[in-house]
Amino acid sequence: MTHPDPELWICVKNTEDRWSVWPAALPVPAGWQAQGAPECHADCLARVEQNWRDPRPAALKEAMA
Amino acid sequence: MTTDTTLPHTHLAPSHAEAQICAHDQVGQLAPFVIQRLHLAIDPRWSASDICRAATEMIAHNPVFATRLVRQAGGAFRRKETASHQITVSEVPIEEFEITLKKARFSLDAGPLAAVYVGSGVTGSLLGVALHPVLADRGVLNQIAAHFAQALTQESTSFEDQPEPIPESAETERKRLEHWRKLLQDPEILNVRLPQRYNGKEGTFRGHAQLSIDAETLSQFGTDATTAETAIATALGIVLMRYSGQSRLRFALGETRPFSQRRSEDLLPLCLALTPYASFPSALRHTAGAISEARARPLSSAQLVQDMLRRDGADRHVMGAVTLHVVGDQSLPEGLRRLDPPQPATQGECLLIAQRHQDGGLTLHANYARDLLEPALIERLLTHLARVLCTGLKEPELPVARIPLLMEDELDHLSAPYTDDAENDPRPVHDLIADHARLTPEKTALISDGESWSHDRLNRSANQLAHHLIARGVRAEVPVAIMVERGIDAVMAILAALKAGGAYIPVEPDHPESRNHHILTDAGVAVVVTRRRYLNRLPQGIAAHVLCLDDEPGADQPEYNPEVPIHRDQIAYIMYTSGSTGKPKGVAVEHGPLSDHLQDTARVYEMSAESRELPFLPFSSDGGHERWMNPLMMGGSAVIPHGPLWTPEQTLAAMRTHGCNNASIPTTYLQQLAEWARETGEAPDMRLYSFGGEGLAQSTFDLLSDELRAPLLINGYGPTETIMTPMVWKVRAGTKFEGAYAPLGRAVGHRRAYVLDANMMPCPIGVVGEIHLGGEGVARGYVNRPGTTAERFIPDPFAPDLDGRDAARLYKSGDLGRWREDGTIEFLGRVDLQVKLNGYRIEPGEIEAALLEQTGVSEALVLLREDDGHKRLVGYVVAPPQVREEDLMRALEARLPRHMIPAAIVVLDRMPTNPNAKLDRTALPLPGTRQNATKNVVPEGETETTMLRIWRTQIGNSALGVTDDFFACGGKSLIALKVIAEMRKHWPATPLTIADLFDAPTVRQLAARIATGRSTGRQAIALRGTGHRPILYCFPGLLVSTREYMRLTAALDADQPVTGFLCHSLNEEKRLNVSVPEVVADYVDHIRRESKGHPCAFLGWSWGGLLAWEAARQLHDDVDIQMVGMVDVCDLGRDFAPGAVPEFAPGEREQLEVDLRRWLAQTRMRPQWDALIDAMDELCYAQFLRFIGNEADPLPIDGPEVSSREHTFWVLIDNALVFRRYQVSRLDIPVCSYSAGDSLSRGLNLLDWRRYSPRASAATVVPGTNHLHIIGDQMFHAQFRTDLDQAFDV
Repeated sequence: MTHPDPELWICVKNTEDRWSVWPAALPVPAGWQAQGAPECHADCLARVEQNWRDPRPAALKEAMA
Repeated sequence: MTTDTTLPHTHLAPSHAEAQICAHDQVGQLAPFVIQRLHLAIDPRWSASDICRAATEMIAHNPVFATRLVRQAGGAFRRKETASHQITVSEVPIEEFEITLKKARFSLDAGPLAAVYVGSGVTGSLLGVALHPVLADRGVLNQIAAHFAQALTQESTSFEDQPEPIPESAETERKRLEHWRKLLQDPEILNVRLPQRYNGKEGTFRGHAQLSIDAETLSQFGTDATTAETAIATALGIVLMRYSGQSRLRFALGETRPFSQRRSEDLLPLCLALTPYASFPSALRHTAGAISEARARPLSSAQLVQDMLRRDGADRHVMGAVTLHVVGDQSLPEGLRRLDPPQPATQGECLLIAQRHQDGGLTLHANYARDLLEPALIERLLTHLARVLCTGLKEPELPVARIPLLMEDELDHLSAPYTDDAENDPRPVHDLIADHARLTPEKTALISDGESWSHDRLNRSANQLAHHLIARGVRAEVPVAIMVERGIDAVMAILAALKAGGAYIPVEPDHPESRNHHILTDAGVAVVVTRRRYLNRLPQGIAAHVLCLDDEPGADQPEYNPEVPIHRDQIAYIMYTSGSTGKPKGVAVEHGPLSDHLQDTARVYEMSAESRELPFLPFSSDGGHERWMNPLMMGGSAVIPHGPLWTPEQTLAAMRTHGCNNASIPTTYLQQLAEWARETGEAPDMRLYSFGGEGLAQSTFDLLSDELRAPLLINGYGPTETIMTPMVWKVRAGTKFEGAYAPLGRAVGHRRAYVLDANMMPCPIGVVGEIHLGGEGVARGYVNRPGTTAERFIPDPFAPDLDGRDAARLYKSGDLGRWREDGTIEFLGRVDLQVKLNGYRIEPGEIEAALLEQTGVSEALVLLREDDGHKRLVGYVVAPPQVREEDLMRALEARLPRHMIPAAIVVLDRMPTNPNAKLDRTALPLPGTRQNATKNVVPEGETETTMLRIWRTQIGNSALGVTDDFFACGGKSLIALKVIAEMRKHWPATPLTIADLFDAPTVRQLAARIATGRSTGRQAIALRGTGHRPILYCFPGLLVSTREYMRLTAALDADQPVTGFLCHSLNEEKRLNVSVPEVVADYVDHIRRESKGHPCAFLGWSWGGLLAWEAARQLHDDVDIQMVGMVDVCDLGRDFAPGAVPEFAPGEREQLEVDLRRWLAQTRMRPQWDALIDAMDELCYAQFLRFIGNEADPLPIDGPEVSSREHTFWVLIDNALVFRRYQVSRLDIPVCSYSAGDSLSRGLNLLDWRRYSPRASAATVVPGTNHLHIIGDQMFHAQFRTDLDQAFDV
């Protein structure tokens, strides 16, 4: 019998455009969406580094635009 | 069913368990065994006479009712089944039935060992059978009940009468022992202990709890006994994994044959290796395999425990600190019902019994050490066990690590912040502060360095600078560095940056340049506000615009509030954390959460326009800013310290001069402040002190509670990432708390605090996990570090359900904590500092807190060192040189569980630091290498040189100097004996004793004694020479050096003087045929001289107990003996007991005599042996032959030096002769006795002092220790201390 791999993580992004990482074995909390496929923890963090270029939350970006 | 009533066996040897129960009975303490009771309810269809007839038949059919245990000379018992049945059925009125059954007591010596009662009433009858536990367990009761049912109903009942198991061969047993020993010694398999009370000690009091689960809830459970046992064991394994954080673990699993004639109940360790993400069915299969594997290698637990206890540092509960028995209710014919609960031996810190009912329901019983474990914890444990079992069966897909232990309402309650229903003002903090410039313009806002600014002046100045900043391009998301020393200008500049819409970054001008340069370049600082005198501290070629306050940059600007809209999500400040590794990280905090936090905090702190606060915290910490913003936004004021760090005197003076009512002080400074206040009595009256930054010990808290004269105290906690102080513990002065550190309290404002395990599951109360903070009050993240931000700020899985907030974030604090019973969180240390040793997770912070409570210790650090692949805990303390490492060690031993005692403690005059004033861990010295410059002194003269060589060889430390303390440098008891023996050989003219080594514990001091030829020559050693209580006199066992009593002394009250006597076998040249009264003559003289007419207490360990008794006999008219403590005192065993006739195989005796003569021809101790053998009578000589015949090893010939094997052997035989002649007389004095679990398990001939004194109580059993180790055992110390306090009535 197989069970979820605790070593796998996914990148997630929330409705405010904030990024994070989350264990792939667990359900993604409400308000967050998976970004891409499960990877190891370090790879997930590297992907966040690449993709989260503007740290401002969505509402602020809109207000400043 | 057997109908054979003949009794084929007489005088059977008892089993291990039976021998152990006999030994317990002999010292008057049956616990952990209990009288076994069968309690049957019988339908009224049967008459009383039917029942009596059936009961009589039941007695006749069961050999157990005819069994006695007969004591033989030397203490051993034999089972004897007598042909004549001696018990009859007693009829008892129904209303007295239960109490009669409960009160049944039996005496092994007098017999009988069973009682049968029948009670009849209109609604039915009752049958009760009570049996001594040596005869019965659940299997025996089941068999008796079945016999009774059959006799009553005349129907054959369905049970299989299992034959007694055939004993295994010695070789098989040896192999099994090896198998189990390997598993029990594996440090990776944790013998799980439940979370303990702070400073809890395992005493003798037991608590009980119970939980029933109905059949419906367990519908998937199945009725098969094996399946049920596996499911419950699996559920317990999962709960223990969740409690301990360890997936490889063990606990004890009980097994009793369902029907048997003799007691069969025993334990086996069940070792599990669970997979957190496996499903419950998969865990079930694993557990089933583990159980059958364990049961394939049965071994009596007594054998295993005895074997393990020989080793130092063995677990107290070798088989398992947690014990589980799964038992099923017996199936009986209709009309009969069992009422008795399962009654297994109460082994372990927590015994769990799962009782399966015929209807499919389950009752969980717990029996636990009440002084060690919280009753609430055990109640929850049962709930969690039930939840895991039910959820595991109902939701087989759920990973076992994700089965919820806490329900949503429990989590809601535990994680909730301080109750606060107030609505917050949506405006940013600088607007809230600016309001007061309009409302109370003239009121003082800031006082510092002889200046005082009103709210109006502060606002106008800040506005002018803000307008200037705006002109320089400052707006939303633009960082402005404020590199100005703490003071009014810094506050003004910060407000200006905020008003301009920028994000301020505080930079302390006097901080290390490399740190400041990093801060000034990391976040893309646009403007630096500073002073001319700091310009040279700026990085070369900095891109930012630099403004010097000396140039009055806003002088020509308007004084009105700038109109800059502030978005909730825009940054207010960036605070750089002072990480111990790597470069400081900038934490960006947004306006919305900041304003909310400050308004929430102001309410918790009860701030008002009257508040005048002295914020002592530096501006490089976010807490320092909270504590000036808070009073200003309420219309109050702040007194900002200026210049170099204020002394306690200056701080208290400033508070008084300026009429402060609040102060916020770093915990590390608080102690100095409170000490100063105590010495001078100059603490001003205050309303509130808040503090934080470090763990706060109870002793410090008490000190500031008592000395600082403020009714309200707040312990603040919070990582910068969760904005200032997201958690506080708000209490009245004088509050007591349990734990190493003051609680962190609860979350503040729109936040929640959680303790989560590695799988993001909330930990139950008492279980250690990582503190997570969620809600609106968290920072945006780390500047320019999206990866690190993503790693630490994670999705909040709880907010959607608890607060209806989606997309929320949680901050992983990296701090370890646990929820306390009151729902507040306790801090335990850092996740990255937590260490694992021998399977236990250890929080060094707990050990550090215990060290900090010792007198003189001002700093403490505990870490796991790995030198040469050898892992050990080492404690480092900063203390004056007179603080001895050994004393600290003993203090810890008296306070902490065994696995938390460091291997070594090193006293330093200061902690090594690196250039950033941070602790330099790499510079901490190896323990054992002496620190103090006065040590390692080279010898002078021949005596010192020779003596040092002896010491170095025996202690095994070549670095030893002539001024080093023998005992502090690893000199243990046996080494002391060897060293004394060696020194006596070299300097026979000065017969040194252990007393000399105590009095003069260095080579230099002892050499001086040899030079003058004067040894102490005393019998008595003052183990603690001071104190007002009556003296405790400790009588030595055989071949002990009196030092064994030092740990006990340390564990007793500091006001308790203790004197130890030297062991006579070490003390003088041996005289033959000496009597016990002669041995104690010198001790008696000493006591009479010192304590005549006064109260005192005695303690005797091993044979020392008999010496204490003889001394008491001689002295009880002269001194007032308030207690005699008898520690594992044995009478002579079968080897030498008068009347115990030894047995020899044919020809064996003659061969032994040949062996004896051959040996005597070789030994250098021939004269001594001859003299001893001459003194033996015929029986004694035969016993001696038997004794040497029983020895596995060849007879030793390494005498006659003290501590040689031969000398020890000789002393043993000599003592046997001495005590053989001694008759213990009756005395009327109070006796408390203590028996080592291992001695009972071996069935040693322990003395029952109730035979000799009407004021002796039953023995206290100290499990998990043996005859030798009991004297150093914590649990024994705690009990003895309690008993002594009671005896002295203090």
